[in-house]
Amino acid sequence: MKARLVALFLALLLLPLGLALWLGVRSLQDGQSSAQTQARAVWSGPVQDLRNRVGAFVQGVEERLRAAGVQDPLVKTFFLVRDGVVVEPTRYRAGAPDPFFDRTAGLWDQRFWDRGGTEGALAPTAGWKSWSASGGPGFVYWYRDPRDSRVVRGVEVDTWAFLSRLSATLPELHWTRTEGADRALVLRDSGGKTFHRWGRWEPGDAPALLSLPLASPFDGWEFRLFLAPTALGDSSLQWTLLFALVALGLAGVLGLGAWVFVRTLGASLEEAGQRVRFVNQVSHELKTPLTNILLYGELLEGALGPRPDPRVSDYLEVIRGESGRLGRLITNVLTFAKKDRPDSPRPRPMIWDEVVDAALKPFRPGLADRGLELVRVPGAADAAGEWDPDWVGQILGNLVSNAEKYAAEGRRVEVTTGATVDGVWVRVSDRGPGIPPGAAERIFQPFARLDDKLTAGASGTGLGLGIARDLARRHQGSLVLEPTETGASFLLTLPLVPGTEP
Amino acid sequence: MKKILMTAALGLAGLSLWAAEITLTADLVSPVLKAGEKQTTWLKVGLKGFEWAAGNRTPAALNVALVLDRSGSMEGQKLDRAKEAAKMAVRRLSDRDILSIVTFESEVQVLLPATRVTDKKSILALIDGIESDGSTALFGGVSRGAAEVRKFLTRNGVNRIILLSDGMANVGPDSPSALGDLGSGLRREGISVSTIGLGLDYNEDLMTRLAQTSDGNHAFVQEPRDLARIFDLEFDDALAVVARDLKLTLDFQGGSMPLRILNRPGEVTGRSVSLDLAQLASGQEKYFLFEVEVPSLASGKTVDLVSVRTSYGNLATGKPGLQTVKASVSGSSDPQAVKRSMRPDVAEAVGIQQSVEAGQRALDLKDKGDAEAARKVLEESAADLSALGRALPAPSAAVQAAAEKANEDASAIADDTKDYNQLRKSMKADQFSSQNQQRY
Repeated sequence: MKARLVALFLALLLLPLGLALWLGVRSLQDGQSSAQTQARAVWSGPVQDLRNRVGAFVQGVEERLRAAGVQDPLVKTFFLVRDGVVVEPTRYRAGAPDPFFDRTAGLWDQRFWDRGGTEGALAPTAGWKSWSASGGPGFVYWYRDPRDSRVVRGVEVDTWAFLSRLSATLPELHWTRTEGADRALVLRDSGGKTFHRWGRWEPGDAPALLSLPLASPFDGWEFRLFLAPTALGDSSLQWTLLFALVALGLAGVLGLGAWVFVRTLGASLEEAGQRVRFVNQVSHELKTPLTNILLYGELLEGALGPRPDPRVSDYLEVIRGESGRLGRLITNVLTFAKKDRPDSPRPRPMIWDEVVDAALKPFRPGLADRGLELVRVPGAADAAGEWDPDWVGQILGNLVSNAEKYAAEGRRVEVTTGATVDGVWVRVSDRGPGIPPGAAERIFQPFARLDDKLTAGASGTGLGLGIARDLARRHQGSLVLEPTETGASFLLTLPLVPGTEP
Repeated sequence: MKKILMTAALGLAGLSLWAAEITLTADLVSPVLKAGEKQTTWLKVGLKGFEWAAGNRTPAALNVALVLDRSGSMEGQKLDRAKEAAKMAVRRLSDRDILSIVTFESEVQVLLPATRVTDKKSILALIDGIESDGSTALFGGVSRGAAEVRKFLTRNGVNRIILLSDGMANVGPDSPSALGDLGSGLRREGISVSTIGLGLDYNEDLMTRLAQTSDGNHAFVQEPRDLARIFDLEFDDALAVVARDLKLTLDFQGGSMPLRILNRPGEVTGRSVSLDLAQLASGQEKYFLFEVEVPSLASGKTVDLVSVRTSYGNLATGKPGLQTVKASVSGSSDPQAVKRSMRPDVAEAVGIQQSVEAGQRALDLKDKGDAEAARKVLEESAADLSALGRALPAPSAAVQAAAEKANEDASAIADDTKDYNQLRKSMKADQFSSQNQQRY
């Protein structure tokens, strides 16, 4: 009774267990063979490619041999057969048999050039004959003379020059170290010896997963592919593989997105960086000749004598004015690139109106030339404080030259100064086309030239306002665009003494 | 006046350039032979490269492929030293030279496709990245190196493959005869292969054969630390090449007949012999020794023996060069006159080459297991050399050294406690060097 119970219990427990085990093993085997089928499908393409490559190589050699001369390193001996009789090379020379016939013994009783095609078909017009001897393999290429079908021309190729070129034709497969460790693709010669190999796995006696024979003249040669079980994968691995594939796919999509994003961003950043570097270098190079132009302009003026031709004076004035403008442009660029700029201003005790007047002075001739009237409304003749005149000059220079460039039609630029309890200000306003409300902040960004008719035809680096504001801020002041009815109006405010809040 | 001086100076400069040609010599070991009997004697035909300014490389550009074994056995010090040596070599090249680097193990990789040596930094970094693994696909490596050199094959420079390997070729063709044939094919294209065997596991027959048939150099480097020095010497040699594609033709006259060439490949059929050399370096003398049968001569009679002609590419001028020379022989019944006519340099060359021949015979005997016979051959060779040394009018350091070497080898070859593998590699390398008048 008890024994029966135990037996029943065991049967109930073991039967499903055994069934599960059997099923597991079955599915594992199925998995193995399906993995092999899959691997075969995956690999047949690449291996076929290699075989095609060898085919193309052979074709190239054939064309070369038809045109070759005795100097060709691929050529060992030329031979010529007429009406089935070898006429060249001569079989006996100086009483001794030509070694060519030793090497190719066994070829000549076959009339190989008449064989090949099926019965009744035309005799082939070209082909290869290969053989294996103790000294290594041999290859002969022959073709029927296109002008005389009784003549067969042939070349015994230099075996190792030929095979060396074959070896160099075989491409690298660029397997990684781990890939190379669990697979081997071998090109075996007709003697079963490895001629070339990819991958380092030693298959031992394992059968090849795939073998692909080569065409003539490599009769008996074949590509053989071996994969280690780890490379084949088993059924449990297949699930992992599936998951890995899905994960890989997802990661791929995400990665691609990220890549595109980073690429685009990186490209534009890189482009901007290049632009700055280039402009920077060019600008720096321009400084030296410019200094010389200015210097020699002054020397020339000094050399003119007391009563120069008024036209010459005019010309000189233009040269100096334009050189000054160029100088400011270069300074702007270099300031932007933070190359030539001290990090902080170097303030000196000064009167505000005098600082502004000095800064405006170089612009007066240029403005006058363009028909712009500079209206100066001084209101800070008593405001004494400490400012960096170079910085103020650069800020005002940028504002005034903007007016000069974009607002010449307004005929008037007004520069007003004033003082408060703890600071000073200067306002530069023109009567030009003004700045659209939406662009109020954008104009201070580097390279932000407004892309409309306003800037069309006007030149500039697109750096001036940004630099001006930056300088103002680092002088502990501010530069803002004021809302106006007409034209543009910029207000620069600076503290009396830097170090105190404006 | 100034103009005349200038013209004269130019003329002189032109002259010195024109004068930079190789020297061709043809000398019998004794140009006076005993009258009245048919006899055999030795003829030495020498080719000497003109001296190029010491320390200066010749104008010839290099097109060189470094083919480096990176199989598993190279791991550690061997590979480290090989990389160092390769890097040192790269530093010696200039931007008109072309370099490619091929590495091989079970597979073959082109590490650096043939390129002008302009960016040394990147090349050095590539070399640093070489890692060891796998077996030795030597044939594939050399084949790929050849393909790279072929891309920039030049007639006015030096096309060379420098092969470094420490092991038996075990992937792909591996017989000395296959590699030898590969070498002759490459030589026909103007490419030489210098082979450097590292350690004690490479196949010296294969490596010397490949170097021999392609007219390259060969070296046995037992210790990895010597690699840099050997690479340096190899590049010294490549950078000193002054002539290439030397074709040599000999026409024997007056009933004389060449019997064989000593220790250099080349067949003798009939009275006309054609030979060639791939290259000749600055100051280097390469020579061929012919055993010649001279018919019976009447006393006091002089006959033309041979006229020799060589054509070659002069790498200094970039033009073809041509030199000719003749040798004659006279009969004498005065034995003293025969003795006096002896040319010590020819006698020395014959002695050295005969000792090389004896050394090869000794290795064959030892390979067959007859160590005693091998020892005897070497001892006899040492005795012959000593006798030659005494017969020479002035002591010869080369003969002296060869005699000592033969004695050393004699005792080593019969000594079972000594490593024959090591001895065989070193003897093979020495024989190769003597036989080809290698510069190092």
